[in-house]
Order: sequence, then C-alpha cells, then structure tokens
Amino acid sequence: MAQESHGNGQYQLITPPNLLKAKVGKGGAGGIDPDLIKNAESVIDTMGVEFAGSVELETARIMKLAMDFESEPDKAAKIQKKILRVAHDLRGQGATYGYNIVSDISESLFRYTDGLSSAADMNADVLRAHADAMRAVVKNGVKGDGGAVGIDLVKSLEALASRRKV
Amino acid sequence: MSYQLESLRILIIDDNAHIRQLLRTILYAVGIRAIDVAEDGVTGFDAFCRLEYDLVFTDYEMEPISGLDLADMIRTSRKSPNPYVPIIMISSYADETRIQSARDRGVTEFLAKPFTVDVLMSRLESVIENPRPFVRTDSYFGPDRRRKQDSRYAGPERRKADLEKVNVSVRDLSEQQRNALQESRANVAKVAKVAKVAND
Repeated sequence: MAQESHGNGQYQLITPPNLLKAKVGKGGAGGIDPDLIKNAESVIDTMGVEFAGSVELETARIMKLAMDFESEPDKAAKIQKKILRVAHDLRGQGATYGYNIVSDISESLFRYTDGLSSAADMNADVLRAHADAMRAVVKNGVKGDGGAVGIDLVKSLEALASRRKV
Repeated sequence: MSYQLESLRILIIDDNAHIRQLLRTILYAVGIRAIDVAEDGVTGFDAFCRLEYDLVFTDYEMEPISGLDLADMIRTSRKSPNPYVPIIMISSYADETRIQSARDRGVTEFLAKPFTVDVLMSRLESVIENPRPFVRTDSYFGPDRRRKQDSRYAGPERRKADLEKVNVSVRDLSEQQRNALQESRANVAKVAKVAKVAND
C-alpha cells in the first residue's frame, strides 16, 4: 500500500490497492453487463405493481390520520410524525418505480407537514388532497411526471402546501 | 468482458425494509449473490466485523446510530476489519450540507433516493473504477475529499439530474388517466378556495 507524507507531515496520502477491481475485473476491460442491467430494470418494473398497491394502502393511512387529527387534535404531534414518515418513505421510492409524480406529491406533503410551526396547524383537507392525488395517480397507472395535467396537479398541491397555515 | 460481480460480498444497512429489499433485488439481478442486510447501524457494524465485505450501503438517518456514525466506526474503530471499504450512503435528503457531512465522515459515494437502476449502477462502477486515495490527518481518515475532474464522475449528487425524470406527454395519457388527474386537481382547487375563505 503506497503511503506518502504531504504538507510537512500534516497529512498522509494512502493509495490502497484496488481490490474491488481486481475481484470483479478478472475477465478484462469490465463494465456491468448491459443485459444484467436490463434484467434489473425489468425486475423493478414488476416490483412497481406491488409499489402501486402499497401506495394505495399508504394513502388510506393518510386519510385515516387526517380523520384522527380532526377527532383528536391533542394527538397532533404524533400524527404529524406518522405523516412525515409515510411522505418520506414514498418520496424516496416513487421515481424508482417510474412513479415520479408520486415522489413529487410526497415531497410536497413532506414539506407541508415538516414546515408547520406547530403540529396543531395541520389542515386535514390539505393532507387529504395529497392522499387523493396519489391515489388517483397509482389507481390509474399514471407514470413519469404525469404530463401537463400531472405537472399542474403537483404545482397546485405545492401552492396549497406552501401556504403553511391555511 | 463484463465484470464478474458474483464474487462480491455486499452489506446493506437501512432501517427501511422496502429500501433493503429494493437494493437487494437490484444487486441480485445484476449477478451479486452474497448480499447481507442489517436494519440498524449497531447490528450492521457487528456484521461488518464478522465477514469481509467489499462494499457497504448505508442509510443516512437511522437509530440508534446514524449512517454518519457508522461510517466513522468503519473508518476509525480498532474493531473495523477493513477501514478502506467503499461506503455508499443513501438518503432522501440530498442537500449540499448533508453530502458534505457525509464526505467529512469518510463516505465514498452518495446516492439520493429515489434512485434508478442506472444511477445505482453508476455508483457501483464509480467505486470499482475510480477509487480515491485515502487521506489521514489528525482529524480525518477517509477517501480524499478533493475529487479529480473526470469524465466518469457522476457526483456530487444532482438529485434532479440523476433521476432522469420521465416526461410524459398529454397524448401519452388515456382519457381515464387525464380525467382522474383533473378531478384530483379540481379537488385541490376546492380545498384552496375553502382555505382562502377561512383566511379572509
């Protein structure tokens, strides 16, 4: 392992052997087999069907949490935390399965819920509007950004969410 | 000839079961067979100390220890069997501050969620083809944070660019899809209107 001292001994530069390349590159020039990448993409497409199903369940959960918030406002902080978790998980997955618009809507929901100065300021209708939009998207298999109509829908949700306290 | 990925042993540490499953599935589909998973940093580090891993994926935000603390342990703990292992950090929070914190704690690459198969593969290729030298100072041990300009370089994460946004044209939508989105849009307008009245 090559080691050199630099900056009057202030730091050491170490060049470890590239064990990873040695391990995977036995055959030559390398690169990931494009057929295997296609294989992975088709597996993800299949998983996208399961993902759509899980989004429907999560939207039902958001609807229920919105209702709970209305009936038990003293539990607002707990409900806010749960909504943040759902929105965070969905925004991190949607686009992987081709549902970029689910990631965009979840991002809007996350920003809205996270940006409130108090959990008590949550508005159940705003939560429901996001859940309703996500459900409409996956129920109808709208992928990508949803085109002009989808982009307009996301923008309208972002505008609603940016008002913070409605 | 393509990489012989089946010889790799990979450790995935993430508290989100979906992400663990997703990563595992993609890596398996490209030929990697030895894939272990852990749902938190403590069990993850324990697993890391028991076997020789070639690559570690870790989430950023976890309890009881964060992905940053885990990276620290891998790089600097006396128990760590391989302080030079490439670490790819995954996070939904891909702002510059977080990326810089990750770099400052010895993370090799950053992968923003949601990611595509292509982006994941580019990170994998990057750690294979462009390993960075390590730097040791009084306060830091990890990959050199000064990245050489290189045509293969894909980071730091540019979330929107990396995501390869799939644009859909209006013509791509069926009438049913368009109607469903328009109905949802009308619902948002209704909520906005009611809210406006309440504010006025």
